Amino acid sequence: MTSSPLNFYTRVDRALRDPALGAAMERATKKLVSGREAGMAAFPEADAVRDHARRIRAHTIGKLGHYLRQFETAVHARGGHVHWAETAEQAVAIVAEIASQHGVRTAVKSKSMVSEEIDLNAALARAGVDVLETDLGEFIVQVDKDHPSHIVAPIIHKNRHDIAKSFRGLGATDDDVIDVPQMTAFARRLLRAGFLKADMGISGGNFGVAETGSLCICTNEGNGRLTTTLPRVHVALMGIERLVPTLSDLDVMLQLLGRSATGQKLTVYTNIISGPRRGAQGATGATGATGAQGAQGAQGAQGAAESDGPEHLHIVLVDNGRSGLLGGELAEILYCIRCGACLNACPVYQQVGGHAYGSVYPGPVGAVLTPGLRGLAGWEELPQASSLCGACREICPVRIDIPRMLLSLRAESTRLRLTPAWATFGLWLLGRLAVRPRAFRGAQRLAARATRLLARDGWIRKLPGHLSAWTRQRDFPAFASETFMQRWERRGR
Amino acid sequence: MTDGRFNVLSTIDRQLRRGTLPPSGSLQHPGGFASRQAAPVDLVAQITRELEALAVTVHHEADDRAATARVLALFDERGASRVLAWDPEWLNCPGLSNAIDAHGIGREPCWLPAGASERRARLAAIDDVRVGLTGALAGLADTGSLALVSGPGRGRIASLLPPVHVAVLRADQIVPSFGAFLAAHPHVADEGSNLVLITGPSRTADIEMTLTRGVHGPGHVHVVIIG
Amino acid sequence: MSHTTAGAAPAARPTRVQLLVTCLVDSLFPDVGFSVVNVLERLGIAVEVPVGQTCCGQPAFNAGSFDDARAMARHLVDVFDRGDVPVVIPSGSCGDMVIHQAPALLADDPAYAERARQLAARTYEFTAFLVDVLGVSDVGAVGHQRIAYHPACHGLRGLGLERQPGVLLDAVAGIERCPLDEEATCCGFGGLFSVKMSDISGSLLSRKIACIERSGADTVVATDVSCLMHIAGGLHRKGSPVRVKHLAEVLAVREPR
Repeated sequence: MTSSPLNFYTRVDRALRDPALGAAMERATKKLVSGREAGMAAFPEADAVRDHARRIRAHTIGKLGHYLRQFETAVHARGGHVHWAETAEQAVAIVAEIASQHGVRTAVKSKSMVSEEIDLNAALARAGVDVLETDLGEFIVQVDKDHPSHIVAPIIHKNRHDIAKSFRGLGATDDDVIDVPQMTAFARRLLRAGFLKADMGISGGNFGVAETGSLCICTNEGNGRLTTTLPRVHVALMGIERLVPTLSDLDVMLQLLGRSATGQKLTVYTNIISGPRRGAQGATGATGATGAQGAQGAQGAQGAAESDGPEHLHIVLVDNGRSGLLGGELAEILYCIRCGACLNACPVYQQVGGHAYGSVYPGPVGAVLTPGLRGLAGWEELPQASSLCGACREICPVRIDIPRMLLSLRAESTRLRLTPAWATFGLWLLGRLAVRPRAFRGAQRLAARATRLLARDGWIRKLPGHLSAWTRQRDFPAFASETFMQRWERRGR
Repeated sequence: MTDGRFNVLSTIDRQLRRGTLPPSGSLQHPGGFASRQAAPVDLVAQITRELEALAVTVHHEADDRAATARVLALFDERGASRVLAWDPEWLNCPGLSNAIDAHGIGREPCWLPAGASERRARLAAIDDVRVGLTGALAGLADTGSLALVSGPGRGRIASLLPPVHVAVLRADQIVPSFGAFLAAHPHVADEGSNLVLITGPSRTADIEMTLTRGVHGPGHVHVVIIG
Repeated sequence: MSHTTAGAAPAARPTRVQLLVTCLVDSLFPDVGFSVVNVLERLGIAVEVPVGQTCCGQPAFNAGSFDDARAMARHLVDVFDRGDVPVVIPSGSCGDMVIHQAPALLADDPAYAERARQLAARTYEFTAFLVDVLGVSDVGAVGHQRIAYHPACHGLRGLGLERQPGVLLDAVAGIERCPLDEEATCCGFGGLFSVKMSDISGSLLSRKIACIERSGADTVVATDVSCLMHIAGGLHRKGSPVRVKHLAEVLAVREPR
């Protein structure tokens, strides 16, 4: 889950000093935000659909055990397998075991944030399975041994020169990297070879549909379809919270996901998978509506079986700390549909980019989810890295109140004494003074005298101690020689 | 050996018993979304607008004969000698398959063997096919999407592997939205293991937010609407 | 969460209000407080200023020191205990604190829960009071500046003040409004964030100042002195001639200077 050994302030410092990153972030987030605005403006029922989507997610999370059980039963009925991973280690072990059972040597992978969260690729490599990322951005991340910096657009921190350099390392000629279409074509050829011979496809899942046991995967490139069609074995990783009750509920989510992420009405491929290939060996249960199934037997019976698709489907439900959030202050973060809009709208994310957060989930959602899943220790800066401006809450398609949860995490940090002592003391002192007006006024008079001593022309260039962090960036005004209350009292009112 | 299923479900049940419902939560399902939008009058016009905005080429043909001629012309334009095609009865155009055969174009079935080496061999053999040909179960007018269900004779790879995808759709298969589609096909998950909504050609904007088409899936999509 | 008060607008036009001046105005920018009083008195509203007021507790609340914040919220409820008079606050962030956060903080305290709710129900941010309660848009102000308006985040998103400040500014005779790029993007103050995460805060400030300079304005106006203090500090550090004013100060000017 961690994407950096450096500490938070070092990562932020590097990001703020990188003008190329700044330019890339500005270009990308502006485009995504304006895309979303246009998409929502053209969607007359947006507000009502958002409200309804929120109710669906809230209801589902409130009855998560029920819907997970229903999902599992439905998947089994269609001949799929469901595995339950309480921890990241268990999830990795499950996938490695499936690979081993099927003699898998090479796997292709479409985008899955959960797989990054559990650090799957490294573990599979150790188990002797070669994993090829096929989402163009994730492929480039893999080639560069980098980490994605956005949950929807993984390489918004890179420019074309960065990528050309990486591709040259893979044997690309000058013509191959001359422009973006050529670079994309180069990647397509390379990845195609991987698709055609892979033994296993690993995917994520945008949503699971409890009623039908379906898995919905939304992609634009088509790698999501190739990954879940060509190899004989399909393994899908999905967080336990990603369910909706019915296909109609899925429809509501789909009306929001693309529009919120980029402005598209739908991603190019909305892939709804209900079990492995039917009529194939090992598959049982519901058959197609046409053709005579029964007596012909499964394998090789071309008239009965579906033409293509994976022979085996394994869905791995990943908990990894999510269940612990239920019933608590942070449960609402489980409503997230991973559209990335909060990242795009967040002024802090816009300034520092995803890597500064040091986690698989950056931005506002990550500032809540990361300490929520992993605990505050080691992640305590994330909830502090916000001005609480509320842009995330405003843009979230399911209206998640992220600022409320950031405050909750800050309170928890205070209780755990993870906040700097000077700040905690200062606020305690403010509290003690504020409930004693005469002491407060005395303190104001002291501060007025002190600041007026330090100030020139009414401004202070350097504050002492920890407060000097303020004056690193800007001047601080001297306190007024008389407070409002003093002048008011003087006027006799 | 730890029982992941037991542990996960126990934690969930315990946490939910202990706490109150999450914000906006309710034990009652909120029901369907009641849209106030009036259904559009001309679905063919709407889907055509949406498809064209996605850079899909739309061909309107009055009948099966015209559609057949159009499809063959598309193959000829691409110099396609083979096509990866759905089985004849699923192409939404009686006579089309025979015409393709008569035209001297090889029709590759979408069948993928189950065995590992046979599968790889088959994929290698069809990798250079330039065009895929499918029908569709429905067209979704508001998003410009094609709804394809997998099944016997309806392989996923036909709309996925070749760089060009030609889909034949009948005008009366066009519905206003995915919601309308689900209402018309309440058991669609029973009809096939894969339902895909295809909304335009494959694309990415991962590199510098620059739009490029034809990344992994087809870069060119043609929809022939009959009627 | 975009209601400008927790209660309905009062039935009859108020004739007096209590002013919650805010600790920053009190300590650093007392002229803003007097501008608020001038504008209200000119509109026929008598202004009381409860003497025990100190700080609403928002800095502690935002930092997660909820116990300290609660203590300050209780004190506030005690000080503003006149149950019938509207309370006016010239700050979106303090307004959000009193209207939304304090009642939630004190919800489990039987001695204060109801009183905090009642206080919230009669508390208004200054521009919301003028426009929504008094129904006023033109207070008879005049000016000459080229003004860029920065919508402070808590006021904009916490209290839903999308229209009110603009309505009042547009009615000031003689000023010119300069559109501000990225106007709704946070200036980067964020309370203690400005010190704890000062590099990020400074980076956002630079961005806001760049937009201000591009706008051609000679004055930045906002409804929150917290933002203004932070922006003014940056402008002064840069040696910029652009001035900052609280909206109340602009509205208080009747004769051209």
